[in-house]
Amino acid sequence: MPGFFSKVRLAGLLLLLFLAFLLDISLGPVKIPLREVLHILFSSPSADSSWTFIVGKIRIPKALTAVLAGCGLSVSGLQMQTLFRNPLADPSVLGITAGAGLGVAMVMLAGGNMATLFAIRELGLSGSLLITIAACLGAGLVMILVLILSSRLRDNVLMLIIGIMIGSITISITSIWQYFSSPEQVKDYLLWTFGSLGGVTGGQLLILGTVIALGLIMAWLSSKMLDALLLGENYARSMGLDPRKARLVIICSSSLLAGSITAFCGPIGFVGIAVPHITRQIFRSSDHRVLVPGCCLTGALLLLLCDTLSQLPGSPTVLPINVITALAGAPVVIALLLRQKNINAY
Amino acid sequence: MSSPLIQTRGLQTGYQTGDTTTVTTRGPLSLEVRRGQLVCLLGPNGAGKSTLLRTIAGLHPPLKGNVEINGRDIRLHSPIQRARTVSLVLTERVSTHHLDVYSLVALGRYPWSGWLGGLDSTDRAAIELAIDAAGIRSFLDRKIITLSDGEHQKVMLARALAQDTPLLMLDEPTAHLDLPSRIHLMRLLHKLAGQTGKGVLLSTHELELALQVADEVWLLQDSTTFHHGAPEDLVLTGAFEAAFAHEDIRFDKHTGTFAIEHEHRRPVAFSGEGLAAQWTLRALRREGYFISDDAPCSIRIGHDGGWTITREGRSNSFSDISSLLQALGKSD
Repeated sequence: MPGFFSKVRLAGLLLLLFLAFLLDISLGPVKIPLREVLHILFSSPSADSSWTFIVGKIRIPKALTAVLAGCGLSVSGLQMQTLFRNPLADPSVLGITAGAGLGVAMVMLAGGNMATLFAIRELGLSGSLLITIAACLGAGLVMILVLILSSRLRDNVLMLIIGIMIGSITISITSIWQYFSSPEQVKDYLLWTFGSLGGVTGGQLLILGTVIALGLIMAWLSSKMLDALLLGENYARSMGLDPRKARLVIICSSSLLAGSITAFCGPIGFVGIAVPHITRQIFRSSDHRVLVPGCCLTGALLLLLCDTLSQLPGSPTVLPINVITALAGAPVVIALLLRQKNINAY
Repeated sequence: MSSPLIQTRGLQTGYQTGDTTTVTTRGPLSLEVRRGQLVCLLGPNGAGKSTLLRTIAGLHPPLKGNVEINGRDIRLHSPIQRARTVSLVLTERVSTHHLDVYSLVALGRYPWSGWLGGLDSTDRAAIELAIDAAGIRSFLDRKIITLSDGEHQKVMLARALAQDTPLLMLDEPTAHLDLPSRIHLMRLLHKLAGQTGKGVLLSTHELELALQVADEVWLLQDSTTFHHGAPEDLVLTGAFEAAFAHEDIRFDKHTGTFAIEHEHRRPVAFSGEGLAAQWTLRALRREGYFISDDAPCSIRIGHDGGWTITREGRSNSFSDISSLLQALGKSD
């Protein structure tokens, strides 16, 4: 179980997360005083009903989405890095993200299907349930393919290569579709690939929350297997780990996390690869019972801060979330990694 | 005699890549390891030691025959049951950042701990016992990547001991270790087998050490030739000599050691007694001389401790072996 040192850090991160959440919902294109925001947060409507709407229906769901996406992507990245013993692995290595992209491309670039285009224009890009469903289907299909292949393979390295190949095929198919589409359609698709935390509200938020919770529970339960995998597959097997079962559980939970987030928010890059490294540095531990909750908190915190930055405080402009994650996060990771001697030993 | 911990029946090992089958040990091998027994698996590089070991441990499928734990095919046991019977120390190095020694040893409790990896008092006691047995208490807080090869090997041994299995298997545990560490490790394993009743099976290149500690030797000469038995028997039957036969190396059946064979040997006559004589003979052998009474050149050790070379009636005296050898070399 987590030691005292880790518990203090987990508690500290939780506090920071709460503060970042407050900061995120109190800043935005429309200025709302912090007192009013707190008022609305603790479920009493503000005097200004538009403020209540903005905070309750836009900012809080967006911040909650940021928390869910931060948790899910980071834990998925952690699982991939440990399973494949590769510090560069992230949620996209299994091709699940690309699968979601293909699903979206199929709907958006479906060759002038007026009903589809109307639905997208009418409902707004990220809020479109149609797009979410398409992305879910794409991610789901690739996930099933990956799971079938994984049960036939002996080796995790082969699994990694095959996952990357599946991703490449999927991206190629998407490219063919783009090539034959009109510039407007391609632009719509491009906007989707920038990622967005807004637009996941109400029922959708509930669905996303449930799937993420399921994925996180599976990840937490797989922490013993992940610990054993740190010693390499041979040692893990000698200690009683069933490699196929472990791979199945880990890939299943990882794809649920990455697939659902990509479906609802678009492909959000960088968080999945960077947060596990940051978390290991914070906790100086390799124990997954510490790292899984640690990645959740760090990831959620990072994405909330990125979301706050993306609104460019003090201006009405909002940048896509994907632009900010790498721009703000990459220097942090570089600085952390330069402090450790052996980068290859993740 | 107790029943075997593990035994093989008609075992043939090797691996399959696509349609090609590579047989590493033709067999059929019928082997067993019993409680309290230390078995050394010896053989030249590439003879198939690792494959045999991995097959017996159940990490690798046999080509033919089977491996049995408690009379039941190892593949029919669940991974956890297997891990509660056999623990392994492999040659690969663990290089995980942030993993400390105690946590790694604690991972040895994997087949016993709760499903989240929680440890109870039994687990903790087993870990403490393993730490003391392997003698690693002084660096429990260190990170794995900072350990030397010798320390790493001890930690991996402690991890296997914490797994608390009746059978312990080690793949070349003495590789990368210096001589005192090698001897220390072999003595430790010998003691473990004797005191705790564990069966220990290890592969090694340390023939001379193996001869001193092994209860049984499995000698893998090549894919078709395999001998097993008490080490002394294998020496007497010449199996040892045959397995490592090489034009440059000679196995001395009297001392149980290997000597480097020289291509051109030269005769020299020798007389002398005691420790000095013994080491002088060694030095002469190393330089490629053999002792012959009718050699033109003779060496004598005086009672005062000096060395004298006599050749064609002329004598020269020397105060140490180094200058003696130099003078001998020049005169050839």
